[in-house]
Amino acid sequence: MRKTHKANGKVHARLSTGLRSAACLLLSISLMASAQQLTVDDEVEGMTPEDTAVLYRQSVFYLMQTQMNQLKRLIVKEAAADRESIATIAQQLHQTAALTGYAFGEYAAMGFDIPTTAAASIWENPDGFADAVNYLQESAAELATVADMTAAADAAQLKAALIGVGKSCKACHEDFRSK
Amino acid sequence: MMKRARVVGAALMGAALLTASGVSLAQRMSPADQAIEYRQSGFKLLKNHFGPMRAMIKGKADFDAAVFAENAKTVSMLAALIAAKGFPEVSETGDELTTKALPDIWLDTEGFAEVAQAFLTNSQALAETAATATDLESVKPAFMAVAKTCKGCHDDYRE
Repeated sequence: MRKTHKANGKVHARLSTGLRSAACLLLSISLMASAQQLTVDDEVEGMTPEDTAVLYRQSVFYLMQTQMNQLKRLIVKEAAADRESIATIAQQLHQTAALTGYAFGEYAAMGFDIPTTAAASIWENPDGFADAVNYLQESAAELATVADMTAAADAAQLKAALIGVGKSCKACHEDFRSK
Repeated sequence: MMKRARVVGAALMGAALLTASGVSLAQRMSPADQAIEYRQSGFKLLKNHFGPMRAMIKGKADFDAAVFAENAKTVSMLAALIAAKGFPEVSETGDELTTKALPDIWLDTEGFAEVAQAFLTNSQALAETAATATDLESVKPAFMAVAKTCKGCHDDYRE
């Protein structure tokens, strides 16, 4: 198991309980009604809802990271030769990006047993974070549109759209991910 | 001693460079482990979105048509994602990671393609049914069909 169960006191110390509850409440109201979708997983042995939520988030980001790496290879290294694969993966990235809407809900802030690089600022600045999520989803939608087989975009347009997604990743990592 | 200090120093600098350039976890994992991690991430999400529907079917949660439909749509999307990239041959055995995927997946490719296709078809049908459903009874048969494909595949192709 790569994702070890280690106590992460730092995250705990950084967020006071009251602040955390308030921020979580705000986030779950303003950003998405996701709690209900994440809580029911009664067959995962020994996993708290918090851990389940953190693993959910990390899975979403692992998929996006893989898709971005594939797109970088296909578009930049291989000069957009395989348009069909690019269209498919861009569409998958677009759909996976939508799952970030479920990834930072009520329980997701409190995965103390699993190390997470999600920064406290996510829950302290829900409006700013919602903007960052929108930025990602919009740039991923744009890439999927440009990459669509019917759009007939050239390599330069694909690359520009891919860079657009990369910028949204980077912006959010700078503001909302701890090192 | 000097030599050792230099080695340690170089290692530290290397680690700092890696961190600074934002080299991701994926790039440090072997291709087999990356593919396994991708598959397992997909299934983890699948399970999370399947759970709420199962709870409603089992009567453990009240039926909420909108939540059910959204989860059904997401399951269908994830099914396509996993079917497309979830089982490359390199992912049969991991280096650091373990996998419950059985070798039969790559030996009996036709049989596996059949169950994968059934999963895609059934989850797509569930998403379509759920999109307009207003009560539990009308989504139940389509849900059970998906659950059956999960189980069938797990029986034959999962440890």
